[in-house]
Amino acid sequence: MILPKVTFVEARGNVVRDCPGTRNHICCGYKTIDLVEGCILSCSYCILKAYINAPDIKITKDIDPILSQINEAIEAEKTHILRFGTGELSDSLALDRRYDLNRPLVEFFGQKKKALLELKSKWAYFDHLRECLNPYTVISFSVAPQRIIGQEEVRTSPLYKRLKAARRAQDAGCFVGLHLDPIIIYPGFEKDYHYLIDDIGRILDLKRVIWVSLGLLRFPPRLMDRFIEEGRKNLLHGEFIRGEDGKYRYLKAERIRVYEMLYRLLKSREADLFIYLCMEREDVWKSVTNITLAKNDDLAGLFDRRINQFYGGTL
Amino acid sequence: MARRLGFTAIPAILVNLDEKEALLYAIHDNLTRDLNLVERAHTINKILHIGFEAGELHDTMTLLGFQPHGKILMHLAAIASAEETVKGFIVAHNLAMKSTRYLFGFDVEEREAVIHALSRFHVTESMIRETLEMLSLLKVRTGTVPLKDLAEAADGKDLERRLKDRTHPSLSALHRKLQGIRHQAALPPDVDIKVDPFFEKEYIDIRIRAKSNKDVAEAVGKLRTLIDTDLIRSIFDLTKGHIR
Repeated sequence: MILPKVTFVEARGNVVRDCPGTRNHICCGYKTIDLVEGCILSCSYCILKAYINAPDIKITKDIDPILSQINEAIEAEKTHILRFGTGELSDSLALDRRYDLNRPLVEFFGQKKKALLELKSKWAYFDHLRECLNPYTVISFSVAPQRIIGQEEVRTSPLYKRLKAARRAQDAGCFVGLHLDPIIIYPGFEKDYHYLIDDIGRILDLKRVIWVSLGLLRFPPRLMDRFIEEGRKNLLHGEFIRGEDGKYRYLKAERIRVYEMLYRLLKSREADLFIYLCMEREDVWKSVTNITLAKNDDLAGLFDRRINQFYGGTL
Repeated sequence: MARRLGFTAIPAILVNLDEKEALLYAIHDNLTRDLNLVERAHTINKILHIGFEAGELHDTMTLLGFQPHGKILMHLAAIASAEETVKGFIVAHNLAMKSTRYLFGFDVEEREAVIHALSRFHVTESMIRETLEMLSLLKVRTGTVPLKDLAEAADGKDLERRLKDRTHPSLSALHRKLQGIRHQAALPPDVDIKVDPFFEKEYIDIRIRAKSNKDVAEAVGKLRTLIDTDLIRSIFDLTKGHIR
């Protein structure tokens, strides 16, 4: 793969931030570590295309101030178990073999033992981190039917490699997360997702999957023009409306239908799976999961319970 | 022209310029007025053909209000060499770049049909932009443009409705259901139920205009009837996505 220009920059201001979430939707209280800005994978639907103008990749070079920002956030939090991730403005693993950026983070969380680091990726390689992995790092993969990977995520690892990598992470003693996000509605998608969930159930030990997120495709308005110009048939097949946050998303009735289908399928494989909806409305949550969430804090509470279940209340 | 206007002499300063410098002078002089998109496209196209260096080209694009990107450059060249009817349509409706990009996403025949249809009735720039966006979306989805709708639409609103039925069939159906419920509810003029146009919000807004206790009591009585006859619940079914 030809790499875009990579520049190393000084840490400016807060690199550790609250995940921006979205207005009038339930968010999970995730913390982002913006260690890398920009992504080499360049998926067709990626919202970074709307927010980052330059094709270059910026890597924050000095890890110490970042670790101290993470430490401050952990020490300041009195209510919830914090979850941090580096996959907001980039893919957590795609550049890691080359630049070894995650190692100090993995080691820090392993020593701290008070919060979790999630490495979220579509790149199925983490073997270089194997010897420093510890239970406080969650290896997560975004997954989609191979048809979507082949057409919309062309530079990423194929599905079977991601699932096998996730299995290797489980075998190495890590908990694993799965993100079915973005879920794309296209002709025949139901069958493809059925097969996808079959594959997940066959390859992974679902009892050691710490969380599964579901998120239907949503995107800022300027990406609509891009999708039309690029003739993205898969992405434009569904019926989009403008949500209260200004983003395009599928019509609510359709979102509920798709979430219900996937929720049921996943639960039929493992009843105890913790499944959450990413950036969804309170009434959609209620319809799909029968869980009432009045505010973001309620969802953070569900995460706390799940983490305690996995870590025996040690965090 | 000067002679026809009765001038026998006009003051002039002669300067010796090559083609490139002359063009820059012309651009500079014309910047004092509002150049339309087609004129700006012609300017950039001329610059391309004279052979300006990349830096000069970028500077001139910025000066003319364009982002100096290759894609935009290609689009401007396409506008400059488009058919006169297309250029006339762009100027007449003062189309923005976004709209012209949609317009040039169609093939020549489709473009002609779109312009012909939209020239038949009064349309605003935003209406054109929305129409072009819907047509472009349909073209991506189905590979064709609904020429029949373009030819048969009675006016801009009718065209918009026809296209929305195609791009947003479920949303259009929700609106029709809501209209049916409203009709059945026969709301008095002082009571209104507002529903978010995309059926996203969990709540609805009920507005009562009252001048006295009696007006309020009457409105509340009417709303009570709507609750008892399940019409309010039917609206919530639409907003909560409980429809199949």
